[in-house]
Amino acid sequence: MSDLRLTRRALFGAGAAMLIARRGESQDIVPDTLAGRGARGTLYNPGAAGRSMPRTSDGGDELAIQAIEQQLKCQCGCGLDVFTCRTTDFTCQTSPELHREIAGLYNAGRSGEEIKQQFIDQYGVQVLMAPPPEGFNLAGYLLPGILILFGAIVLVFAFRRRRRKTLAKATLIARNPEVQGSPGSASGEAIGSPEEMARLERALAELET
Amino acid sequence: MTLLGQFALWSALLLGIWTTVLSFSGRWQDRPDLERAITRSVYAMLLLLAAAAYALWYGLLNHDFNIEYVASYTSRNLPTYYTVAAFWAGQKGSLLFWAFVLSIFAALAQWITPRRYRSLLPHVAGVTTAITVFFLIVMLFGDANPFERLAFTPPDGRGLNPQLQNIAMTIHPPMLYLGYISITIPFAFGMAALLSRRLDTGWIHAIRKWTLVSWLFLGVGITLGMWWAYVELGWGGYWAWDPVENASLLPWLTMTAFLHSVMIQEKRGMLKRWNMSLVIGSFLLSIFGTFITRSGVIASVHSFTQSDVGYFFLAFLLIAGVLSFTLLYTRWPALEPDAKLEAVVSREGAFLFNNLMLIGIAFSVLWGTLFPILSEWVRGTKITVGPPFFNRVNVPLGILLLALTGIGPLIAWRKASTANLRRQFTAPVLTGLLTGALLFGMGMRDWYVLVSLGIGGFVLGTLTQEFYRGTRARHRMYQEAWPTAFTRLIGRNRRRYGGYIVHLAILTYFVAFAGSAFKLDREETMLPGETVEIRSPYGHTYSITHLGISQYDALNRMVTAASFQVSQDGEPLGIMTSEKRQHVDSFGRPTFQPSTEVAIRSTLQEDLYAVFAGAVEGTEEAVYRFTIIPLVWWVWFGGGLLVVGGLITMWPGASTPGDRRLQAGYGASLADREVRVEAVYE
Repeated sequence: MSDLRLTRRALFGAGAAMLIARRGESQDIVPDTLAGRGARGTLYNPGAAGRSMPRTSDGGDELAIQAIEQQLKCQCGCGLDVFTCRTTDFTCQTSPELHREIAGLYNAGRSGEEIKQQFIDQYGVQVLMAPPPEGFNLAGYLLPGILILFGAIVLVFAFRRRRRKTLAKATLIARNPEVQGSPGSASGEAIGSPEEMARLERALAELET
Repeated sequence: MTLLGQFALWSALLLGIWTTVLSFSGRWQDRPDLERAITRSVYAMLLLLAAAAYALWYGLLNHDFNIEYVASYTSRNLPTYYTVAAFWAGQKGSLLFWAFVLSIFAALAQWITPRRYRSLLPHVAGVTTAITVFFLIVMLFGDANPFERLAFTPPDGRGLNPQLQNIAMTIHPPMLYLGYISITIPFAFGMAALLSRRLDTGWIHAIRKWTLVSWLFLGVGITLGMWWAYVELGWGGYWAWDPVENASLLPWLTMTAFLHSVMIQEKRGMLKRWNMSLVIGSFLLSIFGTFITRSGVIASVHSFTQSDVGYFFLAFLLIAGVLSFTLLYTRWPALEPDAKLEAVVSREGAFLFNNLMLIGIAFSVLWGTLFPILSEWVRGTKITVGPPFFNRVNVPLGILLLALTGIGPLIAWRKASTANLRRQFTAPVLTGLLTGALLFGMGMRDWYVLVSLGIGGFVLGTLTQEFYRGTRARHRMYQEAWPTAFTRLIGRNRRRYGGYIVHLAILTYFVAFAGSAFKLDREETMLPGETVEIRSPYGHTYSITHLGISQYDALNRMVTAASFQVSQDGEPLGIMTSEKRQHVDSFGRPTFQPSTEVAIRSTLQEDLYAVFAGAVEGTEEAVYRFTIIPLVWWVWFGGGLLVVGGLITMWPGASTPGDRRLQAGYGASLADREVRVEAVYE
């Protein structure tokens, strides 16, 4: 009978193999059971491929236009920027139209800021993917950080105030052993050794100065 | 079967009302028989809701298209596993799913809670049952009855949205729901502690595993959602700061804060009020999340169709909030801490700041999500708060939180001295500085990425140091081999080292997110045989040759597939295919708009992500969008680490007294005390 025990090394190796990503495995070309026709390979059912796509233009211009599109929201209601919507939702008719408008303005020599302003004038400030950091919008950008900073300051000051009270109470008891109220001084003696009391006195003296 | 379902829902409602009233009346305190009756009614609720769930699944799997829900979300040619998953695909089914799972958790809480906390259970039952009753009310009175019948029986159903026909969508919603729903149990115990005035740490101990479970499910659910968005939606990202995504992140952040601050209450008896507030807040945020999803008040790709159900959730949110915080207010004096914070520079102080950051980030996300509504209300101006806003606000906060992830484990409890800090921080700080310097020397000039990866190096240094020192201590103490010492170190102190593994997972996430800052997109039009070259951020050159477009019929769809050959730096990698799918019903009629399947090639360094945008004028000339995104694989790896770390922390089994002494001794060696325990380990 063969030894079927799984050694620790084999188990570890299997686990490591599961964790390491496979390099892209080659896929066979899918069978084309509904072959295209004609010299340019017209598809059997063009409608099944979604709406017809326009050709992309020169790469350099496209990158600049893409950067502008990524700051403007598509008006189809998807909530995505124009570039992401038109390259993701291939049924959207709005984003290709907006793309043509932006490309037209860019190729006419308008800058990115001018194009954005024109869109704001046309659709309102909600066309921007993020509100401009001005006026009431500053509350949106700054309030979380301000509150965290405020919380940190409150924590530090609250701790310092409590520490001061604790030290003051300890000093009062040390200087006036007859003052009761703390468990350690039930017999009226100081709650610390003379060295500790001396250290406490020095620390309090520093605080007081 | 719909009769069974209807009967089960109405019976559960009546039983639930009776149980809730009895639990909160307190009459059971002198009547053990009533106390047993409460427990049994929780089990009975489970049986009734299981019957209702069975009835719906029966209708789905038997294609009973006379049931409106079945007709809306399934079809005859839908694969079986999607038919099963259709249970939670829609509003009505997901409400029943919530009530059913809550009844399971409520019954489990009654069954597995240790005997010493059993005095809390009647109140726990009251809270869980009240929440279940709410969901039943929504189903039965909110026009959300999953057993509603149509006036006719269509020959086939509408089918499932193609975007939901993905393996991630069979598990992402239930994982998230499990996370949301399981938060109810810690909340119920918190309320029970307040109601019964048992305000020691008992309720904290009783809910520890529940807290971990809900946090873990939420984390897994969020990561699965990210994965689904990445592979299915086609926009080349995994997080869009969508309102519903944000709503799932909020309770995860507050539960993370809670998981840390309960340690302080357990060890020092501090932060009682804070912890109670956190558990209430987490529960309310879980309801808020589902309110956002169901009401459509903030437009989202996730939103169910807008309905009146949202008003029910809003009312419940307000009532639950008012009642919970009023109860907390009445018990406020009884929640005095047992100890005081002795030093800001201490583990307690670090946890406090950690909580501050987590709650601050949660507020930031909530604020950004609601800001459009607020802006419109205040100024009458509609604005969009999209990813650029959230990234600008949350990235700096996230970097600070990452830093705290590394700082917290290094600082001693109660008070950390200068010598202690120097000993603990030297190596991790050097690691962080070295990382930053190395990246700068390699040409990295994006300061956010540089700082975040430098802090990542610091965190990695912290974790490495912790594991190394603990393993070394075991190796010396027990003469164990290093691998054995390492394994047993984790096994004997699961909570601590499982937590460190979770920290490593968070670090992995942050590093992966930093990589996405270098994402690049290219749109290309290619005739068959044409080649384009794209240079990746890592300097690799991808040559992509379009091979052609083919079309064929599959089970419930017609496929148009665009294939292309890929090589990297001259080395052929193979053929990839992106598809357009037109789904059809069993009569061959198109259902839904065409969907797109992306092609992804994933390595440790970067992903090549290709989307077939469409054909030019119905020919084989294809328009593609190619995206190269660094370090995506590490997001999924981080998710796996999160699960591993989370499971380790909650794995049952105590350490031996010897191991606890060892850990205590190791801890003492880190604290700046003049105790010669250190000599044992040097």
